Amino acid sequence: MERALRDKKAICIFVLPALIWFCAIALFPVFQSAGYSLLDWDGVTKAKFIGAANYIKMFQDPLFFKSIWNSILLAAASVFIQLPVSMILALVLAGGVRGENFYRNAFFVPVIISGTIIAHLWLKIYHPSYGLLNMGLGAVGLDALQREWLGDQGTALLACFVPMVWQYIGYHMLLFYSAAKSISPEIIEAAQVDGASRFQTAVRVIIPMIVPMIKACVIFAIIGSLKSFDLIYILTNGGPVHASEVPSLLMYKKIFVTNEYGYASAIAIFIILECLVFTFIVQKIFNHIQKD
Amino acid sequence: MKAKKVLGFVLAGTMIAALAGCGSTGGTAKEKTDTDKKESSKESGEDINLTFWHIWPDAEMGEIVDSYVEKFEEEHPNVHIEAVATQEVEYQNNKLKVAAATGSQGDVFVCWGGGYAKNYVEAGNVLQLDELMEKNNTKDDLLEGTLTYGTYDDKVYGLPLKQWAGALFCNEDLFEEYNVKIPETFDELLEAVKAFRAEEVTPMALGAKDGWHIGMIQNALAVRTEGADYMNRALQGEETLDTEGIVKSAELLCELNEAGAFPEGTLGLGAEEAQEEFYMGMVPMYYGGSWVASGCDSDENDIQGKIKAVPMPTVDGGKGGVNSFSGGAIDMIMLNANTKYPDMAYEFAVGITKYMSEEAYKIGDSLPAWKVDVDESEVSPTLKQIENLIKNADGYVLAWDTFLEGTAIEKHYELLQGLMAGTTTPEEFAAGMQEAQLQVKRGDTE
Repeated sequence: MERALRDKKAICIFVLPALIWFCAIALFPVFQSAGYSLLDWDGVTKAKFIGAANYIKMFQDPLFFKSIWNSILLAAASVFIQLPVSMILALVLAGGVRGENFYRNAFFVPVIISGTIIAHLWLKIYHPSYGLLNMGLGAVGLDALQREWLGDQGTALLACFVPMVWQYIGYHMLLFYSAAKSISPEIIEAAQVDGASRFQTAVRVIIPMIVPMIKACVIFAIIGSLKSFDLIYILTNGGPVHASEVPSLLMYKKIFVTNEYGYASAIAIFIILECLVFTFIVQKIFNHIQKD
Repeated sequence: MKAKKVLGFVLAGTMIAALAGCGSTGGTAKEKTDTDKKESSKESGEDINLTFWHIWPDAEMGEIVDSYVEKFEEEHPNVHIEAVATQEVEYQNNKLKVAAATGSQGDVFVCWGGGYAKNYVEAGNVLQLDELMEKNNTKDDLLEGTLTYGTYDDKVYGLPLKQWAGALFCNEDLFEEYNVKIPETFDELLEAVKAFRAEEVTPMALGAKDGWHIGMIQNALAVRTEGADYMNRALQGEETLDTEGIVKSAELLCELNEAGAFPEGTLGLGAEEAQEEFYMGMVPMYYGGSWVASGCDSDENDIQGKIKAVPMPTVDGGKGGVNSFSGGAIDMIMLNANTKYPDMAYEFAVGITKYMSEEAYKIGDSLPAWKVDVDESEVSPTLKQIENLIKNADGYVLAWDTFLEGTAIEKHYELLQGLMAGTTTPEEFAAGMQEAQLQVKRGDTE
């Protein structure tokens, strides 16, 4: 085994198929998009090279900034609402409650359901006249709070965030839960012997020990938010009047509705770079925390 | 993916060659390649495989397609037709766009005229039909004016599948129940809206999340305010869209909206959702295309037999009279320029277009584009009403989003939703449309 690992040639040969595959389906299209982003192209007729004009146009497009801002809001909601909720659930479950398995599975269910179905569920919940939400509000006398949730520019974005944040709570919970479970019981017992309460054990012992997992989750949550598409596509399709536009949706519309293939590629490249930059920043921040 | 496809074709090709070789005329295989394709196919019974891309995966229309394909295959034993059905929105927005960009769509395919197919025609991926039409005298069977939107640079590329015309569908039961008069003028329409609203009934169905659904109403109002002739010229870019009449059409839409004509939260509702409430008999009015007729006459819906179709109410001082309509023939069947058997594909395309035109007419989906011979009793009653309305039609204007191209379509939806949300003024709407139109045209000439 050791000899095989030292044999550079063997390593190269075994890595090669996966590497080729990765390049062909992941790296190559990225470079291809980068190429397209320099073209004025409708996807059908002859393309024209226009250099950075698409990028210039992008940075002058107020709609683009709005979509970026919306996706950053979503990322913030994911990190500061979704992850803490997941963390609390994970710690409670990992601390041992009756029916631990049941709750763990129940919280995980939304992750397994396809985004399209979740979106349709929430469409019905938000329906202005016979939706669960408005009817519920009416039933308890809160008529004043009834809204046209998805049809109102003021609430559409928020209404989209709720199912998006809710959907992946179970996912992050499971990651935190498994990380917390993998801490050796002696450490926790030691803390308890020293008189730490459950809350203190969680905050002082468990959380510091699962920081690497927290880092991974923060990165997942941010990237997932920046790339979000399916739920918003069905819930509002970016409307009303672009109130809930996000970059992926904007990109999709540029390709398939308005036939601006080059411009859409520029947006795609921006999303990729944006994700890389955020990943980098999160890494830096966590390196800093871990050093302390 | 592409390599796989090529490989697939090669394999299929080899198989066909092998099969032909096995047949009784196997010995002439070499000579065959020299003769004209059509001749050889007729004489030797060479296998012809055609693919037909359509948009009717649902049972009702799907059956109609299948029955014709079967009939055609029986008449032409050497022809095999593979019908591929895709859901319409997916097909229109994704599948066909991707395929037609490289000319890899089916030999015969459903497409839309006007701005939609323009790129594919220009890229040379759609077969020009003039010669074939002349050879087969196809024009004699077509109704007047149905080729307009399949014609580019005076050459025909598409066979019209159907025509549509817009109408205001009114549920007579509800009108009687609340003692409201079916509107003939815009003022009466506003009164009707207010009367229904006072009774807490949503007056008109509209799913404004889908921009085109708002467009149906505004576009029809523009036909009333600006007249059909002008609108057609303006949408083609020959005249400006920034006119008083078009501002007026947007104003009227806003008036309806402010009077509470549309469902609560309409900007969050899709067209299908909104339409459902009309079909269930909860909403008294729905302005839509003639395709709404099939839903009105469907056994599944409670409103069967209760619907009266009337023209869009007239507008005082408008340039368009009661006889001009939204509508036209935009749904087409086209041929792939790369098809190996243009003659056979054409024969099939004409056949299925005629057949679909007739059958779709019977079930109330659309008005025919061909001279059809149908037993009157078989025709959907609501559609029959529309047909009577348009007997004296003096002008049609297509929905703007089928006329416009590229970015102008998205802009159109955006501005319409802005009108509904109150963030766009009617003046901004008209100016914005003109600007978007100019931008697209400028892009074309560059």
